[in-house]
Amino acid sequence: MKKNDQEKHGVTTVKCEEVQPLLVSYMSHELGQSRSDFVREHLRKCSNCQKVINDMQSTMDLLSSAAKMPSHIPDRLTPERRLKINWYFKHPFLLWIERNILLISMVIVSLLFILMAILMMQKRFVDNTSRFENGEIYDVNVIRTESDMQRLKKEHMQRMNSNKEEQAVSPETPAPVTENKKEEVK
Amino acid sequence: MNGSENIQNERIEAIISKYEGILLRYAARVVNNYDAAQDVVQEVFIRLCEKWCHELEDNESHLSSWLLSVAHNCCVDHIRKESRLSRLHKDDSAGKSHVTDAEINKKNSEVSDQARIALDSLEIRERQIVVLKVFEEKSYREISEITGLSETNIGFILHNSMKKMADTLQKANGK
Repeated sequence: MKKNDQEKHGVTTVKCEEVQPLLVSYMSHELGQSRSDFVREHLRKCSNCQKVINDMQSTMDLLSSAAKMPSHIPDRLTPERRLKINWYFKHPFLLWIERNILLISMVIVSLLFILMAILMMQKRFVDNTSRFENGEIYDVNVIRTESDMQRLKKEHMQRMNSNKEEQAVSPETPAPVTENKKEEVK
Repeated sequence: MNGSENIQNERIEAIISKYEGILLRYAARVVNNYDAAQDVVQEVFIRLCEKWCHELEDNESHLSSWLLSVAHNCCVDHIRKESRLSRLHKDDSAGKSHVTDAEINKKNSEVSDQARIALDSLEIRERQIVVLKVFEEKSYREISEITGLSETNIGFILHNSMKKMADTLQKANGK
């Protein structure tokens, strides 16, 4: 609204801006008595706000008449949908599963991964135990690198060789005297 | 046990029968598609089954607000999903429903078309409030319960919506 027009209508811009947001509430009878009076009084003087409220009223009338027309919107749910709702009402647990299917799938996959990890660790432990029994490794609980394993194997072989050499150098231990031999001596 | 289940089934049937009409009208006006409205209302009642409690069951006005509020959320979900997929489907189905109207009554169809053009110019939130106010004739307090907005805010949104619709209709009629 131009300033000259406002002066002509004897109202200020501030007033129109204050009043216009209240127009729909005024039309809907949602304003209190004092504010309704304030808007009515302003509308009596201001032709600009009268035009605004007339435009709004015609839009409201159009929508209201559309609302009152016989509607072709179906007013009943289809029987299949009703059956589905009843079925869900009777089986809330299945409904819960359907709603949380993604979460349930994720939990199942995670559990499978954990189970696989446990099985793999168990298999590795069993392998290490058998290698320990075969003398390939010395400590089942310590996972060693390949170089460590080779070094340990070398040390083990050296110890075995040195033991053999010691046995070869030292005199043979006397054989235990059996009962038969004792009798022969007698 | 069986008796109480039967009573609950009868109760939910009664609630569906009572509210399906208003929810279907509301959803159809917001999403502008009759089939989608059926899906939305089905989802609303399934959510009611999930949240079934006596507090909701006993308080009639609270139940009505709750159902409309859930219906709105479902409409928003539907519109978002549709707009993600394509807007074509929505426009196509809207065209179909208007053709049906036109076959039944040309004058009615003109008014419905104008109302539809006006409503289509609004954002979802604005459309929801206009439908609740004008089509369902709810008071500001009831709309506030349904939407969770303050009454002042509702008045402001309605004012903006009316201005927007008036401009859209003027442009449409000007052509």
